[in-house]
Amino acid sequence: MAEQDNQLLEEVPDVSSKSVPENSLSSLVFTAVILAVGCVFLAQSITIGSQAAVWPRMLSIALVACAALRLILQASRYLVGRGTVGMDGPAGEAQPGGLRALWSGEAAWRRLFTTVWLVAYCIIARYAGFGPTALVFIPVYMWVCGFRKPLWIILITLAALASYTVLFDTLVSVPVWSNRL
Amino acid sequence: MTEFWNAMSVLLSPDGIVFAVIGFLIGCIGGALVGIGGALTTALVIPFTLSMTPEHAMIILVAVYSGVSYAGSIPSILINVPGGPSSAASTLDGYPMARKGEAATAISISATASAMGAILGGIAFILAVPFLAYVANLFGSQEFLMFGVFGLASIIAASGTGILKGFMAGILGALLACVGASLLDANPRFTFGIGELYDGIDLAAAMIGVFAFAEMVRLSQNPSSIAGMLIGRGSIWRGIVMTLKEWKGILRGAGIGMWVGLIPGEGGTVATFMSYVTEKQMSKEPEKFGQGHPGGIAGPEAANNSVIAGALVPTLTFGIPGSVSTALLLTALTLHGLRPGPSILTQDVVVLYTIIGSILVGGVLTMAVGLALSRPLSLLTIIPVPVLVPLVCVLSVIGIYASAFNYSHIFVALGAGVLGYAFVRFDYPIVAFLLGFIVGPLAEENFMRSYQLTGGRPYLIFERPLSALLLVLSILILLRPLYRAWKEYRQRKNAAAAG
Repeated sequence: MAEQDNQLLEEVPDVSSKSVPENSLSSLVFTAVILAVGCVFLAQSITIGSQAAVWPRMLSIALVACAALRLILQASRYLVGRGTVGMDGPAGEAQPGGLRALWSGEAAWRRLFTTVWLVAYCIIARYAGFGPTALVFIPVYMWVCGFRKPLWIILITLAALASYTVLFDTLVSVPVWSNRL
Repeated sequence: MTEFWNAMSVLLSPDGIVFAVIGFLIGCIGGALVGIGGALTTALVIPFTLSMTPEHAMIILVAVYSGVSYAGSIPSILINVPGGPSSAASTLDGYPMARKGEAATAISISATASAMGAILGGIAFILAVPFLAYVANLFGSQEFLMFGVFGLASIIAASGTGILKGFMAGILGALLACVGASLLDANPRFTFGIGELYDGIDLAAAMIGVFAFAEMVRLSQNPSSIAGMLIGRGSIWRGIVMTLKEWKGILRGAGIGMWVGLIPGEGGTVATFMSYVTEKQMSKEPEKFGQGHPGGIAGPEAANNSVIAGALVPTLTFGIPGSVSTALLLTALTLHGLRPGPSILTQDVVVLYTIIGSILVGGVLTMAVGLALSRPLSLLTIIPVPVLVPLVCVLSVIGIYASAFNYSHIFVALGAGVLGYAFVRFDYPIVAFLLGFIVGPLAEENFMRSYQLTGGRPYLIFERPLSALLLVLSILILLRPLYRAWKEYRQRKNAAAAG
């Protein structure tokens, strides 16, 4: 039964993106960040003088304990990996899915561009309005990311903005074309 | 019974039917688009439902859930890429059938079995409501606290990414839910002097950030469309007849789906694979499985759709969501001022029956609309990613603003997006995080009530038998992965010694 299960699962294509390996430096750093967050919350909860501090204090102690334990376990694995792999870096960083692989190549550029463009949209839309900003954001994104059909870009942008206007402006009273948000 | 008929009158009113059809179509679009999936689709729809009545909001959201559950199998069958993890089992026999030129037949089997699974699940849920009301009334604040712990333990154990990671994700979620005015004395906590955080971290913004923004950044790395080509043909009628011949498998699949759905953290993926393995084992022709056997599609699809009813039982009765999609439904209920738990079985019965009725309507829509639109829906798999990403991003940003008319929530969502992306990359269970975030305030309330009832001696909670039982179950559930790891280690050691 178990063998059959495993066989079936192996046949299923992996649709999720690869995770960063456990024994990589970036994974270690992420755990350290969570530990730091736990410490900040714990320090803050200590400053609260009422019963309202009990629950978050318990949670932050638990978070700090779990993160510290995980950090120790990861650090030991990281050091073992470093010893076996050599000076080129610890196991994981250069592996598929590792941080170096994650931030190199065209895929990384696309992810970075999407992030920057999305943040830019959020900032500019506050002053220029959702609709006018999207009028630039949508076609430029499509063009830069490789969709080079100008007529389709114009049609899709206009159709999308018309839909947003109907959905949000008409139905939910969101001022899509106004900058007074 | 009056409540049941009141719910039916809302559900079967012209407005109710229109909302159900719209929700189902949106769900179908989200389900058929690989990379979008049920959670993101539901998260995007929630802001639109906030101005509706709770009944209409639930109709549209359950219909989205039904649409996603059905349509996820379309790319599974056509291009061998599941629309979501729970549709993965459909690739095993659906894709081979499509390659034989029977794509329409396979989609028809999927739609018919999905519809039957959803309807069977809905009927079972209706029959279970009086019993659930009795069970839920046995719960006091101590039991609720422990059931929250049990739910979190189940999800952590089922996440498969390690207990420590699960704990960290869940606790982080609960801790972030503490940000803002305290439930006890309304004093601000963890706001770091930022005025916008006094009302806490907005649930809708956090959900959309974690799902939509993180997913769009991940998806953007793919420059082409989701599918390059389509394979289609076959007969819808032939599919319906083949499905009806597999009625025993559908009954088994629906039973498995409902049972697995009841367990928080398990969900559709486990149910569909369990059903597939069961069907293969019980079939007279197991050698044909994997080559396009209708039983390999019908059973898992029935399981996948009956999970909806099963997963809603802990979500509505105890406020413990069994999956990401039900966590989002829980979010929507909370945003509408409804409190999941025993009160929904006594005070908000109309909403409860509306939800159950929506599952049944979802089943009917799967059969009628799903079959009719199977061909156009399959065209969604060829939308290029560079077109999809900006459209979803703009929709998400305006959607977040629409949920509370507060621009700062958009920046909260950006932060949540960074966290969501990091969670995906570093393989932390997002469901555990969400459960912590949603259940955290409820758990705090019950904890503080128990703390005060026991005079500051919380260990007295375990003097109550049900609380003690839930604690033991939580510990056993958390020990299960450790036991499995130990067993595997022993097997490897024995194999090494023998070899």
